[in-house]
Amino acid sequence: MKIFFIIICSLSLHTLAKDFHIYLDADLSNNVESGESIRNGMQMAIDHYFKNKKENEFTVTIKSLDHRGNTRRSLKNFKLALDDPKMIAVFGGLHSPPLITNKGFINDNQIPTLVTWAAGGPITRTTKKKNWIFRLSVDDSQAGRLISQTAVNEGCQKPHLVLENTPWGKSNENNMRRSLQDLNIKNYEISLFDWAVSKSSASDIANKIKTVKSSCIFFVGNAKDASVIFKSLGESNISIPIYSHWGITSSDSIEMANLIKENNLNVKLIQTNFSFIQKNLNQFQKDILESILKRHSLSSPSKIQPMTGWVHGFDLMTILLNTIEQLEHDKEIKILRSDLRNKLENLNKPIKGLVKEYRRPFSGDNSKNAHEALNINDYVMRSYKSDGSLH
Amino acid sequence: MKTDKSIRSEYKKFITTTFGVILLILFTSISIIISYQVSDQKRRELNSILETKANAINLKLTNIISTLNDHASRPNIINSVMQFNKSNKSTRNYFEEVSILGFKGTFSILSFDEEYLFGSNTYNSDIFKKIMDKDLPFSIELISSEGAFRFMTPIIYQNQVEGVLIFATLIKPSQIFLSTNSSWYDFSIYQDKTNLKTEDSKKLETNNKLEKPITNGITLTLNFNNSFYQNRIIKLLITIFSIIAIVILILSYFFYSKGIAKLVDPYEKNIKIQNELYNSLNLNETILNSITHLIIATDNEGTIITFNKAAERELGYSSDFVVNKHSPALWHDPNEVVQKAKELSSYYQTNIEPGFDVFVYEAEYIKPMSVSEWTFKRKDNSTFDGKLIATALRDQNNQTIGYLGVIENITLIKQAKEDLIRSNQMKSEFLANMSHEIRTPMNGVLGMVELLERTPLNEEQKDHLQTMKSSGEHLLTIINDILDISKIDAGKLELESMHFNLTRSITETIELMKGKAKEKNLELKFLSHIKPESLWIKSDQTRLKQILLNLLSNAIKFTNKGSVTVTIENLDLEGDHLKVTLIVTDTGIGLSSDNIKNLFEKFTQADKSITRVYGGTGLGLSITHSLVKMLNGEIKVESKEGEGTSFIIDFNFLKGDPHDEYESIIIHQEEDGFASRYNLQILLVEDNLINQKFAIKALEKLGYDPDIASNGKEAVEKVKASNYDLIFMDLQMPIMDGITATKEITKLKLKQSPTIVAMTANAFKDDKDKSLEAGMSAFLTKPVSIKKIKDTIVTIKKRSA
Repeated sequence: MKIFFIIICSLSLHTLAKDFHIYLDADLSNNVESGESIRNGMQMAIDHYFKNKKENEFTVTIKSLDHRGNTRRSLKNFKLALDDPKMIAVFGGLHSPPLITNKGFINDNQIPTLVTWAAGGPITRTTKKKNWIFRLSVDDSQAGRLISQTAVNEGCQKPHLVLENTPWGKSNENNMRRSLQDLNIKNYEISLFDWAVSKSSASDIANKIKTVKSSCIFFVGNAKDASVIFKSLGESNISIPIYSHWGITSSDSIEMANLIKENNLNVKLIQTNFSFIQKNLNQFQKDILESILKRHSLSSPSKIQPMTGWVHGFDLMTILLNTIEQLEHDKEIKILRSDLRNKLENLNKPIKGLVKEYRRPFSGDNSKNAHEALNINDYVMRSYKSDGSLH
Repeated sequence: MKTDKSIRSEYKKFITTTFGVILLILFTSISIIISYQVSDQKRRELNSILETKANAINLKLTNIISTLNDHASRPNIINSVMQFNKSNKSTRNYFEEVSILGFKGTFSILSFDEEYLFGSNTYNSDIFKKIMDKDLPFSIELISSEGAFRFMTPIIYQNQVEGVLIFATLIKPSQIFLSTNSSWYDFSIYQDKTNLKTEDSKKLETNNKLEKPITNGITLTLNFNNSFYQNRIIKLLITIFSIIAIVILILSYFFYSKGIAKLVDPYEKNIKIQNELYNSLNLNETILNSITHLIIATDNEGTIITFNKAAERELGYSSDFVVNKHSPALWHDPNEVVQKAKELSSYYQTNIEPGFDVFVYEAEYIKPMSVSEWTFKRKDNSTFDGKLIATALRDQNNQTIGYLGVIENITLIKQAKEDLIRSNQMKSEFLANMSHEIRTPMNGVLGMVELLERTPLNEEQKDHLQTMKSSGEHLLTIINDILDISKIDAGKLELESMHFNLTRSITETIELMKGKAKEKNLELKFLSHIKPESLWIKSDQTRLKQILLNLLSNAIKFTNKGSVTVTIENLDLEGDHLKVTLIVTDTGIGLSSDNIKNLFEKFTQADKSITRVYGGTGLGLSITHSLVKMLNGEIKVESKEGEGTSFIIDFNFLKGDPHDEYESIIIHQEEDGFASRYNLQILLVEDNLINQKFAIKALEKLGYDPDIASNGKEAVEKVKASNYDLIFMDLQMPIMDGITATKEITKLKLKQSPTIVAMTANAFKDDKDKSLEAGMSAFLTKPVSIKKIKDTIVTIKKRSA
């Protein structure tokens, strides 16, 4: 009888604990490394958070959805997530275009969306009353500036903007233009390319670069397209510095590192200011690193790739969990989501993350960077090492 | 037995049937093959046409898809599907400018969840799903029978189908099929229930079709008119049949003619030969058994193998008894055989054993058809004489395989022969006797008449004597004629051969008849344009003169007024021969055609009444005819009653040499001083007193003084006693005849053997021969004339000189 009672009790306890679904809508096909790294980061955060908890007031399950880079699929995924009464939030992935295009839907349907990677400016900015999209990542409106600044600082006077022909590419274009304007660079070229850029298009761009004699390249695109274009540059013996957005880290970093090396390219790319490789790790960071290495049987920090996904996924999930913790779970999910959104905008307690300790990462004051957890001070320009690690 | 015709027609039938069957089989099999071939060809042809067209259409359609794919795989299109920005018109604008392989149409892009990015083409949901699921690489649909097509192709990003590009356009049948320009087939395509046909102004009558799937469930149909092929088949069959028929015809003719030559003809020949053989054998059998001669054939050893009916009858043994069982020894006398063996052995100087060899030795080694006579013993032990003709039977290699004996029962013949000989002998004897008997007195009479003639006579006595002479001569003529006839009949008339001049003989003969002609006031002429020198011949002058004499005599006899002309003409010299024609023409009473017919028969005269008027024995012309024949001539008669008669003789003489004639000398010999010129001691041997007397007188006239002997014996005595130069020996004498006497005299072997001349009334060749054989040098027939004696003496003297 006692046992029965205990079981019943434990069961009720279980039923008492709210189970939340956290969706990850990412490209798990073509840029699968990015998606997986985000998921791993998210999971690490969950494990770490619940490790020290005696009682679980709530449980969370990650639900991965593959949008394959297709904006419309992303929409479909969001719809799916929306239909799930347990869905508390949706994590966004690498690609900006889906988030930019579907922003309206997300906000209209009150889906708390946490963006770990996509850097497109418009994502976290809305004209609507309530902004449901939160980002812990590079923000293009500030990224462009860094790229431009770095390039100009390093002597580039005639940049060539090689951008993907998507909202992301376009947003970057706008930002870079403004930055360059501010930096008094008027002589620059722009070449747009489509996703799954063809070799011929790539060589056209290369030729154009050669013809106009650009002195450096600003690159905005993902790894797949980057490899095609970089190869073309290599074939055309274009060795001018490339200042790239971090899209090129979307897939195998070793491959990218090799590609860059093979083509004699000088590539610097944006990263957030934390890397498991950096020497001066604090205890917290060390602990997490150890857990990761142990959990995933990795031999060294440089194997944690792509690091962006890991780090941002971890940090953003940590924030989310700490936020959920503060909610009253007995509410209907829609209300819970709304509560969550509100709470996110009003996080008073500092939350320890990998990149930094987050104090009031988001706000609700409709400012430009209200929903940006990181800013330009958190960005750096790094280069690949042969082992794929970024330094 | 099959007749020629039936074998031929049967063979013809056979050839016809055989080749007809061959033709049929060939044609049938070739027709079948052709039909299959043509069907096959047709099938292939049609399939080829179909396949070509299907491939062409397929190519066209897949090219459209391919071009469409090119667009679908353009990065901007893919991008637009991935970004799915409806407000972005760039994609729609892009497709506004696009034509696929020249085809303009409408485009749409669908998202994975069937949301139009742009465009509004209707589409098949199932097909869309299949494309999305990668079950279909693309789709081509025939929407309407006007040629509306819809093409759908996936838009792929990173090997995943992210959307579908739709292209709808109108393709006219002519654009898809292009024209076929054919009179017997056209095309159409269909998909499910939608059909697209070629637009052809002329309606083709097609009754057949072939199908081939192109792609995406679109099927190409080839509609064709089967009769095109059927016509082709029929044409082909007709051609082939014609060719085969011609070939078969030629072959059959060839085989027919070859067959006729190589099979039928020899077969017919064989049948013919068989028939002939059968007939021949049959004939042989019949001959063998109907012949009266005994036919006995044996093998090499003498065993009888053939024994005909005549043999059975004659010898009394049956064929079964004899054949293969006995030899001819059965009916021969062993002694006879032994004797013959000896004779043959002796004659041929070789040892011939008494046995079968005796019969066949000559046939085997000496000559075929050797004849021998034997005594044959019948079964009943009676005998008959038989003539055996034995021949060796030889095969193709000339090897003796047996012997054939033909035996004739000559018993009767022998008898008859003997009788005949005896009868002939009797006849000859009779004739000889008769002639002797008649001639002897005649000799006497005529001799006396001659002697009387040389004595002084008064006119009356001369007249009577003349009558006596002519009567006597007439009688002598008759006797001579009879003798001649009998000689001719007996074949004992012998011709002499001497060289003489024909012209002269004729003139001499005419001379003899001049008197008679003058008596009847008839002209007796001799016409000849041939030079007498050209007419030297070698023949029997006496007989020739006799012929002419007879003809002249008749001519004069039967002519009352006018003339009798002798003509010789048509001289033809040919090598040794001298051909000439002798004509005796008269202007006498002539002969009727009936008379001419039997003219040369014995004892005929033109008319019994003539005999009475003209006399004659009726033997003259018969003798003349026979004599002409014997002198190598031909006699014919032409006559017209009341006008005259011509006897025309064509002679073929041997050329004569004038230097061989002697007559001329003799004729003109004088009687006086004869003996002194030809000094001879003569002995006359004659038993008949009258003849004796005449002969003495004749000789005395010539100046001789002969001695006399009355018979042969006396003659021999006298010869022993004295030397004589010449003896005239009578043959038929008592005590010792002339022949014997001559022999005796010859036996004496005198230093100077006298010349003995036979003198007799017997005028037969036998006698002549016997005389000469006995040793007589010459032969005189009685009655002898002084002239004859003279001539003989001269001849003998000349001979001895």
